[in-house]
Amino acid sequence: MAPLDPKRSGWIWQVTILSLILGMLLAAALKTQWSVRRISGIPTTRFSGLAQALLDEKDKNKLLRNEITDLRAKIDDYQQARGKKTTEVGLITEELQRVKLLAGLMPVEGKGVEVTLQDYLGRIPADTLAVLKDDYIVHDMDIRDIVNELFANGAEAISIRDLDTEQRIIASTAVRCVGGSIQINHVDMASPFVITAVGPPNTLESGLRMPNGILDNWRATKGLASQMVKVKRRDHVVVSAYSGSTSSLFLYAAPVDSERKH
Amino acid sequence: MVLLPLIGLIGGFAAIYLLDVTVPAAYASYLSLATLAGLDAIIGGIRSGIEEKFQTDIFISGFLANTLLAVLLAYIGEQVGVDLFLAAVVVIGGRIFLNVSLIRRYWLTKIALAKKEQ
Repeated sequence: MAPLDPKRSGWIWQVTILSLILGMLLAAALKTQWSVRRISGIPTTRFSGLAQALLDEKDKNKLLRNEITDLRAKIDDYQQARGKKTTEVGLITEELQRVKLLAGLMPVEGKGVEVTLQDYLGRIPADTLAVLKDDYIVHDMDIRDIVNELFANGAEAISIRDLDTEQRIIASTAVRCVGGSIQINHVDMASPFVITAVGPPNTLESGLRMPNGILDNWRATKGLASQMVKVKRRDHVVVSAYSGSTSSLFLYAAPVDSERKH
Repeated sequence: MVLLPLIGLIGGFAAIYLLDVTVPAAYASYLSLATLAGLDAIIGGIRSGIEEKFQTDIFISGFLANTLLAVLLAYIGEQVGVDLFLAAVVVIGGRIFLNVSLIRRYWLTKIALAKKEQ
């Protein structure tokens, strides 16, 4: 190409310099986006993509939870098969079963009660005070109170289930409110909740119904208890085993070495 | 000569790409906006260049002012929860399309003229 008139072509150099800067900006922007995607493991940073990624992760979680249940059932089978071989192993197996029962790692069945907790399904009256609107939904503290009352009255095993999952109450179970849902064993759950307890049915029920107790004092707004809480005695209930991972439960705690202590 | 801006673009890209430079993820959207504003300035510069109306002060101040305004809008938008950066994206994007179409016409006219002369 013929050399251009330097006076007329000066702009090309300036555009070139800015192009250089643009190239740098472009590279930095792309590298940042790539690193965000690589670190988060999410293929896109756009909202619609994020929603899809969340759904995928939820599905994955569900599959993994099923896998834990399957694997644990397999372990049980192996232990039972081994336990039959010798009496010594048989005794250890028996002890192991007892400990697992205590830890909530075995499904149990027996007499008990079922408590159903449900958000108020009707329309909340328009003249309801803002502070009383919370009365119409089930809160984490309701579940905690009921679990506490059931254990206090002799419940031996308790699990809470919603439409998606069943969570056994074990020693490290936390029941807390996270945004719009309630997390139990770090799993999101939503109304309706069914709290199943194995224990003396009459004692368990009367514990919940005692004067000035949980059902008696249910909400400042009257008449909600019959809509939101149902307590039923059952001749046969099944409480499933804890289905979460047990490998991450003790990261800090280790058994005390009693020989070294003295 | 005409390819110089393209070479500059590739050179700058390669420099940052090969060096170990990363920007915190929180600034990713601002960086993308600055890139868009830069692209607009370059295409606007090429257009004014071929129209022989190029002025250094307008070129540089335009780039700086547009970039800063776009980033400022995005920042304010993030603070008040409105996607204000969309305003910058729409305006700058529209201008890029306009300028590219003018550049295209200029080259097409030039080619047509050259053919006539033959």
